Amino acid sequence: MDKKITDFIVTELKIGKWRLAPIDFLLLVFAVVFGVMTRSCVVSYTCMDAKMYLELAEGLKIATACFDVLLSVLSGLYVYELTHHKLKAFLAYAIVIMLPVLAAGSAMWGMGDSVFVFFAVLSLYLLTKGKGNAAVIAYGVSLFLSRYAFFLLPVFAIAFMQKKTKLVSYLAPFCGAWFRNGIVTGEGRLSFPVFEAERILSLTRGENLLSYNWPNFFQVIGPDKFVMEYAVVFKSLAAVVMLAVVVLALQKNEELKAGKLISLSLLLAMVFPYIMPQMDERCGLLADILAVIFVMKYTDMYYVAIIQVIISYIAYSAYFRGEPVIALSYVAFVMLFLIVIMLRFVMNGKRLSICFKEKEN
Amino acid sequence: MDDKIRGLLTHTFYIKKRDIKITTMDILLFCVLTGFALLARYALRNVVAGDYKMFFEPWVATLREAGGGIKGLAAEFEYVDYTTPYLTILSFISICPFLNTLLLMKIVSIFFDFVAAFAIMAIVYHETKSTTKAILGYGTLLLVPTILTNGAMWAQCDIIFTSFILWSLYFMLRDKPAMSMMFYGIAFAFKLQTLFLAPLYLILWMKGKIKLKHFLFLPLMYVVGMIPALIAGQSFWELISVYFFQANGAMDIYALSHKFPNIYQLIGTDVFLFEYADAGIWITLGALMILLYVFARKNYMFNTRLMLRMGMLLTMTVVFFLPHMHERYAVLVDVMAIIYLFIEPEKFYIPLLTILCSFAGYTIYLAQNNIVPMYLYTVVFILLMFDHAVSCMKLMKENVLE
Repeated sequence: MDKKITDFIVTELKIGKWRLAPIDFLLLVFAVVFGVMTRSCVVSYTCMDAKMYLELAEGLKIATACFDVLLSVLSGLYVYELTHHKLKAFLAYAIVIMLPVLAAGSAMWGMGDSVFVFFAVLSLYLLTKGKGNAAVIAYGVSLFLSRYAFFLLPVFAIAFMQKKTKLVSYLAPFCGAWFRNGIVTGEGRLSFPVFEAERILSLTRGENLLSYNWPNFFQVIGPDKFVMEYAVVFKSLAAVVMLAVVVLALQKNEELKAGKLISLSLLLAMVFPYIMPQMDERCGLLADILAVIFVMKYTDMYYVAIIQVIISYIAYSAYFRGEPVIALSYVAFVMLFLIVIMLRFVMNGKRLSICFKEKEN
Repeated sequence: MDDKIRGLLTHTFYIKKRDIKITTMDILLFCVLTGFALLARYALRNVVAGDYKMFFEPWVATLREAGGGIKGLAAEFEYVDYTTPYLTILSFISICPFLNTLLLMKIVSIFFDFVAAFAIMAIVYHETKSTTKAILGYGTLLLVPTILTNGAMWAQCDIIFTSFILWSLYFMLRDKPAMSMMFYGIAFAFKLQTLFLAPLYLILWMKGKIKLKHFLFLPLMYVVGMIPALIAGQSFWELISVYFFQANGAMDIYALSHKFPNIYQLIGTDVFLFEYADAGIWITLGALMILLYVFARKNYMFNTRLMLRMGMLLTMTVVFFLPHMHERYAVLVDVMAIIYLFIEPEKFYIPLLTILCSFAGYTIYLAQNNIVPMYLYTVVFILLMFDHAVSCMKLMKENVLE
């Protein structure tokens, strides 16, 4: 009897072109259940007292939570595309939906970040599948929704140079950025919930800082000194880095294949928040999701995702608590360590394996 | 003369019935370790911890007022979160004419220290067939700081349920699932924390090591444990709801972690007490679900190393994410790490770091001393979890069945 039950749980059944076992369905269902329950526990919290925010918060939280689910499904599909490994795809799905940063970002904070991350990941997924133009359009939507999508710009520049996309499709990101700037900062602002929430947040910040609780370079040198001067300096530096990445990648004359694409994207999503001024606690979310997808492909670098997510949540909790538990300057060094590891991997393919090594693929 | 002494020390006795060889040196080692273990406990006998003053002493007084022994179990407590088996022990202590309550409580815990040590000895012998290693395992458990201080210094009783779990693991290794689950059931009757290891038993069921019917030992042993209180006239429903009250965490809500190096040490233990407490439970269930999925989905042979690694990883996952964890709640990981030391000695850092992390919380509680920030211990704890996770994957790959 016991054997019949346990065998049934793991026996694969053919459903369409997929072969799935009941245990896979259990994971699919329970991941959503646990994800929803986790969010429901924290949904009553409101991080800002502003009346306008309170009016927006509920709808935003629900919409963002829906995108959390979509994002986890997309992550699963992306991992399957990268690895052709079912178990890893299911794991990516379950891990993403249960990620504390994602749950806190949507249900506690309600800032709508998973919407832009969804479109950013979708753009990379489409690029991997060889649908370059659709990828650029998805990227445009992402850029319209958040300035943090900007981190991935070099990827699309390289894709264009490698004839994966057409120039005309770049109207999408251009319009995305243009509309976004018009809506968020322009005088005739539209009352679009995601932007309103962000605008209220920036109004409640008060002091102008080089870094809002994100453990980056400015936490080491002091986020409240030479704010205006350093902002210009480091924005220029970021632009130079962006250009350098594109030039170096093209000089290497190496095609942007699936593995390279995800690792380069992750590196960029780590590097720019580290050197760009005015980054806030949520700027690591894109890197968090990309890190989960990345480690499913390169499992011996599993620690990258774990450390990245922990760092991100430390930044979140610094905002929620009003002060960090651990000095952010220390955390910034850990972040630097991750960047070095990723840089080494992207440049030379050298992996720092902790405890176990996997065959190079 | 010298040769005679050497000969005497290396003289081997052979226990035919059990197929055990033991030298005089082993016996000497056993005696010395036992002696030092007792001496260390004797040195700690007079330490009075806060928990004793705040909880145990009033509980024993209430039991004594109600008549002690079985009669005492009819006592009405303002608050108590122990089940009948341990309250029965306390109730008998309350009417014991020899020694004082504190010492008697410590003696009970020390007795179970030895029960656990013998379990370690049996497990290590079963795995290594080396009497010397088995005796060293016995001595290690008795002398590690967390076990030593838990009972002999703090007068806590975590070693009781831990010792039963160790015997459960021993019988599992010997392919005696019914006996194993019976001991697991006894452990459950003593403490809810027994369930930290429940996911491992689920995996063992998935891999055909135990049957569903064996899980009935859990409620059965719990009900058997209730009998003294039922005789004393307590209500069945009140007795059965003790764990629901504990799971509710009603007494521990003032901090997300009680000096335990888990995730809350990184994000703050003192804010979002209600939100994170509830969300933490779901995150724990989610994390366990993911681990169980990986362990159950793959087809591989089970062995002792894998069982211990999985047991440690699953227990660590629970205490890492669950809110309101106390300093003592990784005791199961501590003892499993000791066994592991004798199975794979080159991984000596596992028990070393595990016990270091555990003992950090003990120090803060007992000595009111917080020298190293708790989040650093959390980092070590995370590294250990990495190590276990990677090892589980490796061992599953090595033993893959297709």
